[in-house]
Amino acid sequence: MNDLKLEIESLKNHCDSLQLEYNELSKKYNINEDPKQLANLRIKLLKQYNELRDTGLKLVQLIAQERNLSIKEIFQEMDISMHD
Amino acid sequence: MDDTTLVESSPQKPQDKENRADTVPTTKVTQSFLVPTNLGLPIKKDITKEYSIGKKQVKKIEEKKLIKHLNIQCEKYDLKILYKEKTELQKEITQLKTGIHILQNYEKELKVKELITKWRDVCQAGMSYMYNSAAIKIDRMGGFEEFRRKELENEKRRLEYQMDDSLQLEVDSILESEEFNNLTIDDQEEYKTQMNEKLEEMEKMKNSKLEALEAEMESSRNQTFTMQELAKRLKVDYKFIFLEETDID
Repeated sequence: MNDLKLEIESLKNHCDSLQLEYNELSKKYNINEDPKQLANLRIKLLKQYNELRDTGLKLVQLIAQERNLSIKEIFQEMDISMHD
Repeated sequence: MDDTTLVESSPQKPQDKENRADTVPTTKVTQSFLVPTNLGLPIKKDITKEYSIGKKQVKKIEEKKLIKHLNIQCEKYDLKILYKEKTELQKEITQLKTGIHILQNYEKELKVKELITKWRDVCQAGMSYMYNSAAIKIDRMGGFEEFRRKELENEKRRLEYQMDDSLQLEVDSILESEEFNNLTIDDQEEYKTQMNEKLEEMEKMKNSKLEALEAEMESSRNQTFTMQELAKRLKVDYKFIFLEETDID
C-alpha cells in the first residue's frame, strides 16, 4: 500500500509538470481547449479532411468522365494540386 | 509386649470413637459422591459455567474474526481507491502528453485546416459544375417537372414489369414441374391456394408502391432543380460541403 501511495505521489508530480508544459504551449497558440478536447478536435478535423477529399475526388472524377478528360487535367484546369 | 504395643492392639477407646466420629463426614462425602442426586448438582453447575465461558470465548473469536475481516475489507477498499486514483492519473498523463504532442506540432494542425478549406473549395466547384451541366440537360428535357415525371413513369413501368414477370415465371415453373404433377389432387390444390395467396400479397405490395410513386409524382409538380437535389442524387452531404467556415471550427 505504501509503495502504491508513493507511486501515486510521483504520478501527481509528473502530471503537474505536464500540465504546466501544456498550459504554456496552449497560451502560445491561443488554445482554450483542454488536452482531451484538443485531441477530439484533431480527430474531427482529420475526419473532415478525409471526407472532403474523398467527395472532391469523386466529383472531379465525374467531371472528368463527362468531359472525357483525366482527373489530372481537371485539377490542372482548376489550378489545384491533387496530391494532399 | 510393651505399652506401645498394647495401645496399638487394644480395642478402641472412647477417644478413638471421637476420632472415628471425625472420619464420619469423610465417609458421608464419599457416600454422597456415590449418590447420583448429590452428584448431579455440582456437575450441572460446572457445565453451565464452562458453557458460559465457552460462549464468551466463541464470541471473542467471532469478534476477532469480524475485526480481521473488516480490516481486510477496509484495506481492500483503500487499495481500490488508490488504484482508481492511479488509473485516473495515468489517463490524465496520457491525455496531457497527447495534447503536448499536438501543440508541439501545431503547424500540422494548421496545415490540416488549410487542406480542409482547399478540398471544400474543390467540392463546391465540382458541385457547381455538375449542377450547371445537369440543369442544361434537364432544361433540354422540358424542365425539372417533366424530367421527374418521366423518371417516375419509368420507375412505375419497371416495377410493374419486374413484379408481374418474376412472379409469373415462378408460378409457371412450379405448375409445370414434375414434382408438382406427381402430387395428389388435394396437395396440388393446397399448393395452388398458397400460390394464389402469394400472388395477392405481391399485388398488394405492388399497388402500395405504385401509390407511393403517384404521390411522389403529385408532389414533384412545380418543383425546381436545386443543388440539394443534386447532392441527394450524387449521394454527397450538401450541408457538409456548403457549410460556413465559422461553423466548422
